[in-house]
Amino acid sequence: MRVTERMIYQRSLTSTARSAAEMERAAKEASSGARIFHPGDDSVASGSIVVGNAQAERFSSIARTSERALEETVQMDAALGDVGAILTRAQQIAVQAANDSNSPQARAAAAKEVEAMIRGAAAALNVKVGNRYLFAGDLDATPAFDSTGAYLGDTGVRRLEVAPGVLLDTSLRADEVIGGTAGGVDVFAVLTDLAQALTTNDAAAIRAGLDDFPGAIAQVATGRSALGGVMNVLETSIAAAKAGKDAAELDVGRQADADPIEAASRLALSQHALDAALTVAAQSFRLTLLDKLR
Amino acid sequence: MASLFALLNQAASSLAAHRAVIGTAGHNIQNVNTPGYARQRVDLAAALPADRVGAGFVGRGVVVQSITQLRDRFFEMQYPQSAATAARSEAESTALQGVHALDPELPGGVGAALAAFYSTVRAVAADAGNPGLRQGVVSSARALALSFNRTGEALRQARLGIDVRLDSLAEAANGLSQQIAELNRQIRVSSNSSGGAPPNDLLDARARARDELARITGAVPVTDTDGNVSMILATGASLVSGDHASRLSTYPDPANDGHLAFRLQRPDGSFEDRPALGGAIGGNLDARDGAIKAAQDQLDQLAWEFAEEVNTVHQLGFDAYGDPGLDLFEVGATQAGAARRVAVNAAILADPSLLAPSETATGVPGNGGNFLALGQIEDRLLPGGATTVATFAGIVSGFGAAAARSKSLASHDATLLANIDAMRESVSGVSIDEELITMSQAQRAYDAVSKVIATTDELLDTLMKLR
Repeated sequence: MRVTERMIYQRSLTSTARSAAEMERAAKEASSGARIFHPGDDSVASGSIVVGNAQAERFSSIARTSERALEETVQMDAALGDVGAILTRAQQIAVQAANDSNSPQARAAAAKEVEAMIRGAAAALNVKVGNRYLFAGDLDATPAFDSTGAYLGDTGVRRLEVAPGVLLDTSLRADEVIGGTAGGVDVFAVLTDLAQALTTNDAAAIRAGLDDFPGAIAQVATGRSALGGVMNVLETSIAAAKAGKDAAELDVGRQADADPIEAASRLALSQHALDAALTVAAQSFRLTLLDKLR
Repeated sequence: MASLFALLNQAASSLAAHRAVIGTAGHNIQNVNTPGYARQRVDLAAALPADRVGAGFVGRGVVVQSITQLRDRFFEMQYPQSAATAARSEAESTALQGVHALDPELPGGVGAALAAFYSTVRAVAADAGNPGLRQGVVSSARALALSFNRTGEALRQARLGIDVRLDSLAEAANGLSQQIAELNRQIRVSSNSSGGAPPNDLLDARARARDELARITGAVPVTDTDGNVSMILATGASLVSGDHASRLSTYPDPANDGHLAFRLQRPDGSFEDRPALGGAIGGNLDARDGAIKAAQDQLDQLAWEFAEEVNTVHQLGFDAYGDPGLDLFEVGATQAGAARRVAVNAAILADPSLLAPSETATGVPGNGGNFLALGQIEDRLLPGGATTVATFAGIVSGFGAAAARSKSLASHDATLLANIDAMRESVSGVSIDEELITMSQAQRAYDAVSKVIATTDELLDTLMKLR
């Protein structure tokens, strides 16, 4: 095959350009740590990266909202714990006051304490996280209970996505747990009845009211138990969402990130290739009859 | 028998022949870097007829029989087609590689914006009365709409950019067509006036124009019996026919969103719309109306279907005033161009309380049930059979696959072209070493013929001194 000047130059141009392009690419990957700069670099990985990033964001948002819900359920649990303690103390007061040996003055003093407890229970149940009252249902911009224990909220229950496509009720209906509307005991009515009986020094009424306390205490305890279940699920969900986010990010990284060792190795290789191409080009130009004829 | 004066004449003629060899070698050397140049060779032949001398013949020296180009017809035929194919895939690849709107990790890209939108919706579903979170939904919805707008506009601009390129390619093609037609005429005239001797440099100029026109349009050269080169498109329409050149023009095609289409205006005034053009024009059309248009259409469809889904769910909810939800996104009346048009409802943008996360009118402000349903759109299959994020991932993958295919094809076609170019160059290219040897050879012959003249001169001198 005849070899002409243009073939030599063309070959030199092509090989140096190819080597330079490979070196540039390797340098870009090594310096940026990325290996995909255009969907055409790896079309399958590009699609997977979009999905992976969306999954990571979804898991991240599930973890965030679940963490917030967990914080709220902890607050609700604490409030119910306070109410439970109030009920237990009220029950003790009722047992003591039911004794006929109690004087009207002692019962009146106990009545004052129970009235304070009612206000304390209402205050505990008006627990607020951010701008919302946790026991108020959907009407969470206003307090759930007034100072007498009357429920001002509604029957709304917050629901949350705790895993992709999985929903969980994360709040309790205060009308049921406290108001007993689902066939239970009205906690505030129990306390109010006791306060009334103490105020009127009605020992029989005090004794009659004693029967309601175990039910009220159990009802609140059941509410706390339900919240405990919710907290368990939320804790699991948070852990799972964080693990899902990490896995999604890892997968995206695997697809999008350059292997630094491989990139550095390719950079060195392409530098050698460019060096060789330039050397060959220089050698090719040196051999010419022009020099011999001088 | 040759006289001494005849010998002098012969020698003079031979000197001219060798001078022509040196001149041609010099011409070759001077054009060593000229694109499309084919080396020329002087064909020498013994001058005829020889003089009869008794029983034998005495030769009459050397003459230039012809000066020809060295071209291999097989490679000459192959090259324009290979150049057209390579130019087509290269043009498509270049156009697609220039589009970065669909890069998978582009900050603020549609994929990330979709995920962020769903996140904020999920947050409001968990705390619907929170004005900060409501504002977050409005902001993320706006960011998503802008992301659709930017991506749709970037794809449109990529297509418009190709239109500009097509316009200049059409102008270049017209110039080359006219050049070939004119060269056909000049070559015919020159050839006739020189008794059939090939006008090599005109042939080179025509070959260059032919290759370039093939590269731009994909037209195939056909040589007729008169030596004219015509340039024929795949449909049979001719860009050049003998001395006549047709004209390519562009016009906005209403059927293709106003993007440019081609019209071939023949010399007789008739025209053909959308001729089958290949080469660089074909490659740019492939990119513009292929992968980029597909991505644009799919993005429009995604924006349209997503907005419809969101609006349908949003209308089922109730805002902070207890009123039914409005459309969250305004997307216009048609799917075409939806990605560039989609925007957040101006009323909601101004008042996030108009977001409708509540399932019931009485459940405001805390009920987020409707936004829980809105968030579930993330898992819902669109009519295309994939979720919104998966649909966008499919658009990215599809575009990436087309770009990768065209890049690989361009590399393959470039290698084939380089091979054919090397084969052609091997025949037609100039080797300086060869030409120097040819020059030395001719110079040596020239020196020797000069000696013949000197010897003849001495012989004449001897004769003159006879008394």
